[in-house]
This record gives sequence, C-alpha cells and structure tokens, in this order.
Amino acid sequence: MNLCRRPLFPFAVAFIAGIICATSMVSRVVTPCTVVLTIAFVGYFLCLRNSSRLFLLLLVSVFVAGVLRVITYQQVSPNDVSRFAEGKSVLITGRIASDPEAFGDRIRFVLACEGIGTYERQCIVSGNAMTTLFLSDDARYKIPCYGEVVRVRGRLRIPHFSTNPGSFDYKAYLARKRIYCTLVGGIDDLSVLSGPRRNLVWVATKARSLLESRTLALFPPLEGKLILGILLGNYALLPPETQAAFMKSGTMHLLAASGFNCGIIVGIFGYLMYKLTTPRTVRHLLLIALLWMFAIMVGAGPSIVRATVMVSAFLAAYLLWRFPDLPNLVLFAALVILGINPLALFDVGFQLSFTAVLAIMLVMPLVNPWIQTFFSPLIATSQTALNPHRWILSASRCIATAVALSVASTIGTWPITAHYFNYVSVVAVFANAITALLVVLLTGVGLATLAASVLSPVIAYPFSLVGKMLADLMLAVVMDLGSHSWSCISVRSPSWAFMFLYYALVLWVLTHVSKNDSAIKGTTDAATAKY
Amino acid sequence: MLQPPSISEDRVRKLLPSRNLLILIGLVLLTILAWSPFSADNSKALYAYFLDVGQGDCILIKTPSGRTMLVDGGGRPNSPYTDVIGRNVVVPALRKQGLNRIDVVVLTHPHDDHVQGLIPVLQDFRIGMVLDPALPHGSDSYMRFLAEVKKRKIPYKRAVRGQTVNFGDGVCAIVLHPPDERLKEVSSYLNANSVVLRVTYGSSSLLLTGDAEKKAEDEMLSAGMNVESDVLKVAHHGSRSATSEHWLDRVKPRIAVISVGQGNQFGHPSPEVLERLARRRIRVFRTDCNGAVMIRMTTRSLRVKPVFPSVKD
Repeated sequence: MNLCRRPLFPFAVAFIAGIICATSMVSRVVTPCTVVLTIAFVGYFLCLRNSSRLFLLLLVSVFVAGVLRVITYQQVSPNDVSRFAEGKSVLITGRIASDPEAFGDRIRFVLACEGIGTYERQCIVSGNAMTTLFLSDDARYKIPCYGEVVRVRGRLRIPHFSTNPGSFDYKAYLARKRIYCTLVGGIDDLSVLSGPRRNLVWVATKARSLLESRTLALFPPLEGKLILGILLGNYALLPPETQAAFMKSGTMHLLAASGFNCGIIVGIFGYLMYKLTTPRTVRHLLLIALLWMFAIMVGAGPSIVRATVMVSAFLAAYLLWRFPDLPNLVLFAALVILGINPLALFDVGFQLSFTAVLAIMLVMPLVNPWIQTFFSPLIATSQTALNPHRWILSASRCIATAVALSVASTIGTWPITAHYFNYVSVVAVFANAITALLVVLLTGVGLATLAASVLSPVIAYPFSLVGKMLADLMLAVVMDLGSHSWSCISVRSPSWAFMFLYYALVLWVLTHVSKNDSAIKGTTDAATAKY
Repeated sequence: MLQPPSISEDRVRKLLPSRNLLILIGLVLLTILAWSPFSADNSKALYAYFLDVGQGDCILIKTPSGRTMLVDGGGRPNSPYTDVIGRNVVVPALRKQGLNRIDVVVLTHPHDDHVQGLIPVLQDFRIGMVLDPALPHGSDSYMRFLAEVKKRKIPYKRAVRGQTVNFGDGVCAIVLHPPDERLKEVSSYLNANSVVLRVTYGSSSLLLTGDAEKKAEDEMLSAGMNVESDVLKVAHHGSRSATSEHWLDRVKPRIAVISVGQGNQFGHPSPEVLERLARRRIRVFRTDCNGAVMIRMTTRSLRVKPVFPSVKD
C-alpha cells in the first residue's frame, strides 16, 4: 500500500505545509526557509513542461488555500467578548453552545456570547467564552442544557499559558477552538432567559443525556461510567485514579469515540436494515445520517470526525459505483477536518488518531496474511462448530489480530505520546490485547442491556449483571497493569527532527516491505499458474 | 607475469550494499542521532526547579550526575481534588525531565499544600528514600502519603539536624532543621518544625526553608548553623512571620524565590518581606508572577530562567 502515490497525497501535504507556514510566520527558521523554497520553486517551475506546470500551480493554490484558511480562522472579531476580559465581574448574556459537562463540584460549557454589561444596559458582543460554574450545596438549582439562552455573572479572564514545564497549555487548547477567554462563576449566578432552539444538535444532546442517565441507572456507578466511556467516549466521569491507570496502561484510546464506535453503528444498523430489505441507496444514506448524528452526540472530537468522514465517504463511494480506497479516504478525512479547523493539525487527538490509522493501514496488510495462513488451516481441520479446539483457535486468532493492531498503532503513536506527554507505556501492547476483546464484549452487552431495558427492567437485569462482571474484569486488568511505577517510562520530548525522520523511516520501510511482498506474491502466483 | 584476478562488474555490484540498504542505514542513523538523549544537556550543573503549584511549595533538584531530590509536592487545601496538583503539575514536570526515579523525596512538614502533590509522585515513580520530620498530624492527605510509603516499601527516615545526603557528584544536602528535640510552645508546631535544607555545589548554595518561621530561624542561628546561601527559598510563601531582618543578614542571598499562589486569601507575600528583600537588593522571583523558576548552578556561576521573565499575561 503506497500512500505517497495516492492523488490526494500531494494536495494534503501542500495544505498542511500551508497551515504550518501560516502559523509559524514569525519563526526565524520557517520564514527564511519558505523564501528559499519559493525561489527554488519558481526556478524549477520555469524549467517545466506545460502539464507539470498545471499540476504545480494546483499544488501552490492548495498551499495558499492552507495559508488563507489559517489567517481567516485566526481572525478575532472587533467586538469579541475576550476584549472585555480584565478579570472583573461581568454580566454576560448568551446561548449555551455545548452540552454542559459535570466535573465533580462544577459544570463547564461553551457560551456563545451575545451581550455584556449590566442588568439595565448591555452592549452587543460576539465570540465564545469557556464557562465554568461551581455548584452550590443548595439542591434547588437546575443544570442548564444545550441551546438555552442564559445570563451569567462571573469573572471574565484571559486563560493563562502553561506556567510549568510539561503542563497542559489551556490557553493554546482553547485558542484552537476559537475561544479566547474564560468565565468563572457560581450556579446561583445563572438565570435562564429562554428555552433551547430545537435543532439537530439539541436532539443529539438530548439523546446523549438519555443514554447517560439510563446507563448509570442500569449499572453500578463505576461500571456504568466505564461503559459510558466506551460507548460515548465520555471518560470525564471516571475517577482521576482510574483515568490515570488507563493512561499509564496505554488504553486511554478505548475511552474515546472513534472508528470502533462507527463500526458498531454500521454493523448493527446496517445488518438490521439489510434484514428489513432496505434498498442499498436508502440504507447507505440512513447510515451516513446516523453516523453524523452520533458524531454530534459525542462532541465531534477529531477521532470521531475522522472516522465518520472516512466511513461516510466509504459508503458514499458505493452509492457512486466506485470502489473506496482507504488511503485516499484517510487523506480526504484529514483535508475535511483541516478545512473546517486548520489548527486541529496541532491537536494531539488529531495527530494520534491519524498516525494510528495510517500505521494500522500500512502494517496490517503485511501481518494479516501471516495470521490467516497460520490459523485458518488449523481452524478448518477442527471440523464441527462445537469443537472446543476450534473455539480456542478462533479466540487465539482474534488475540493475535488484536496484538498486531496494538503493535501497529503503537508504532505510529509512541513518538507523539512521548513528545506531548513524556511517557511511553511499556504494558500498552499487552493491555490492549486483553482489553480489546473485553471492549467488544462490553459494547455488545451494554447495548443489549439498554435495548432490553426499553422492554422491561427484568429482562435487562441479567444483561446488566454480565455487563458488570465484564466491566469489573476490565477495570481490574487496567488498574493492575496501570498502577505500577514501571507501567510507563518517562522520556524526554523527542525533537521534531527525530519525529520527522522516524516517520520517514517507518513509511519507507513499510512501503518497501509491502512492495517486495507483492513482488514475491506475484512471482509465486506466476509460478503456480505455470504448473 | 601474474595478472590480478579479474572481477566482473556484476560481482562488484553484488559485493556493494544496495541503494535501498544504504538509504535504510542512513535513515536509521539519522533517526538515532536526532533522538533527544544525545542532545540532552550534559553540562556539569545543578538545576533547581521551583514549580508553580499555586499556594504551596514544590522544588525539584537535579544534580550534575542526574540524581534527583524533590522537596514537597504542593497541593490544594480544602479542595475535593487532592491529587490535582500532583497529577497535572508535578508528575508532568518530572516526566518532562525524563525522570523515572526520584532519589530523595523530602516532605518539609505535613500540611496539605506541601504533601498532597507527593502522593501521585510516590505512585508513579521509583523512590529511593523519603525524608520526613515525622510530626504527628492526622490529615487525610498525610495519612495517604504514609500509606503509600508503607505500601511501596520506600525507605523512610526521620529528618534530624545534621543529617547529610551526599549525591556523590559534589552536591550535598544538609538538614539544618528541625533539631532532634522538636520546637515546642510555638504558634504553629508543624511550621516551626519544618525541614530546612542547605544544598551545596562547589561554592554555590541553595537554602530551602519550607514553612519555617521566625522562631525556627532564630533557633538555627543560635545553634550556629551555616545558613549563608546564594539562593533563598523564602519561607512560608513570603509570610511576615518568617524571613526576619536578622535572618536575611546572615543568609545573604543574591536571589530569593517566593512560591506563592496568585490572589491567595492570606495576602502572601507580605509587603514587609518584599520590602526587606528590596532593601538588600535581592532579586526576587515569584511563582505567581514568573511561573515556574529554573535555577542553573555551576560550581562558580548561577543563572535564573523563569517561564515568564517579566510578569505573566
């Protein structure tokens, strides 16, 4: 699988280069480099034939589009609410633009600000403020919901840069979402002015809160929160020590909505619609709609948007009577996400999601035939379906595939984890191989429990018992593997030069191995045909 | 005449490594060379990092040979999130240094703003030894700290005046306080019996005072302790109950670091203390204004590098 030869590859690279150049305009290194490259490019351009000139012009246009997208994205409106952030107490009117999330003694949401001032007089503002409201002991307050127009009194501040080495840079994180100020107050300082605007996002957030409350009612608290993490990617409810154990065991990605969740949706609903003999066009369109609904429901993070774009394009390709090409789908997803938010390129979630998928795409075609060649004849010899030997072999094949997937994604992601978080989990491959199976089972049982609870709580009870048992097992594995001081090792941040060379090396090696593999296969096929 | 054996061109080509192999070797070598440990700072210097943990203390000492000592871990008293400073500030800062082991963990005294952040450190790193004044205190955080020490079988020592931690590379930490007979009849028993450490490297030195107050300062001076240091960690977050005139005259610091939280409810640092320091022309760095402060000490020179050289935001 040669990624570099895909038609979207040069355009994706040009767009990314444009974004990098635009965000590092002031850099002493990048600016002179850009000037030198431009001069070299013009020289090269003048020596080319007409067809190549057209291609290069297209590339340059995409590069310029990347630069312009960053410039337009970073523009702050003259009446942005952050211009009033002086640390003083202010009264702000606005619409709740994200589903409020609870973090222990506080709730947090994005407020799309509309007015600022006093109760009597307000001036019009725009922009968003990350709002944190501390909950009081008084049980009479009501948690606001998405889409409501509210008035909040609180302190409006510019968020701080990271003040310690290695700490999370909250200011940069918010700026990537075009949020330039924070508003902190108490829940008592909030009053709801009007109800929510009932749109698709509102429906998605309602569905999410319904799912959350049902799951938490059906399972014990900790197990329920784990199942919610797996189903909806909401791990914020888990206790900090559990989150730390997931992080140290390298299994945190299991608690993020991603391609796995998309696969489940397509698998279940696709199968149901197939059984109901829904026409293929309708089926695919409905699945695409469902996927986007789910992506909105879980907060549209980089990994779920990447997966949703990929799967949607995959399904759409069949509608257009075309065969989907995975590397092109990945590049297309990257271009879509970066087109919407160019600064997502610097988001660690975006980088981890894409490097993991690319690594899996490059490694698995090489490893999978080995696994199949090893296990398939053994499984075939165990004739009856009820033969325990056959079951053991099938389970072993699943474990081998899970290990291969885990190794592949680790090859792709460890430099990024090391760069941003300064650790490498030494138990990640082992932990992922065990938990991958548990996650599949837990998702199935979790969904079955939710479906059964619609019919009757009595029917749901045995499912919830099995779910609890599986969740406990998963928690025990993760807590055990992630609670040791040796679970992960600290590393200094690898330099960008190292990361660039590492990925170049991996890409080069995998491309060559795959080329040789195809050549050998071709020779073997030719030899087989001859005889 | 003997002719040299002729070698065909094909044979020569076979003997030479292929182009692909050369590219592979080149890429591998470049990748190894670019790996940061090769470009790590190997200069013979002692580093002291005063982390910004809000209203609390946390100081990481890294010796020239890479040995480490962590003095306190910060914390957030009266907050339900006891591990938040440890998990979000201290552990990432230690990981950023590529540390997997802390040789010595010192708890100056068991108040929450000093002990809470140490609990995740004990959980996530291998610890060589814990030095603690072993003062009686029943807070949840201190109990958890002791439980972790016991659970992980970390060697535990009661800090007493005169103890020395020799790192073997010219760096030495001497316990100046508390004496074996703890101070009594004081306003705060825990603060008065805080561990005070003097870290020396060649002719440079660093004085870490925890929350030791005036009575402790007087006691150290009357006991004839050598307190003279280039860098002073101002005691008790710059409270006026510490850092007396007499103390500053004897320490004679060039640089003072105040570990203090922005907009704290205690009014720290006290204007009186700031005025005392200013009068002696001591350069003051504050974690609430400068963020984390890094001090690089060689046997002869001293350099300060805060995250925000002027004032943040």
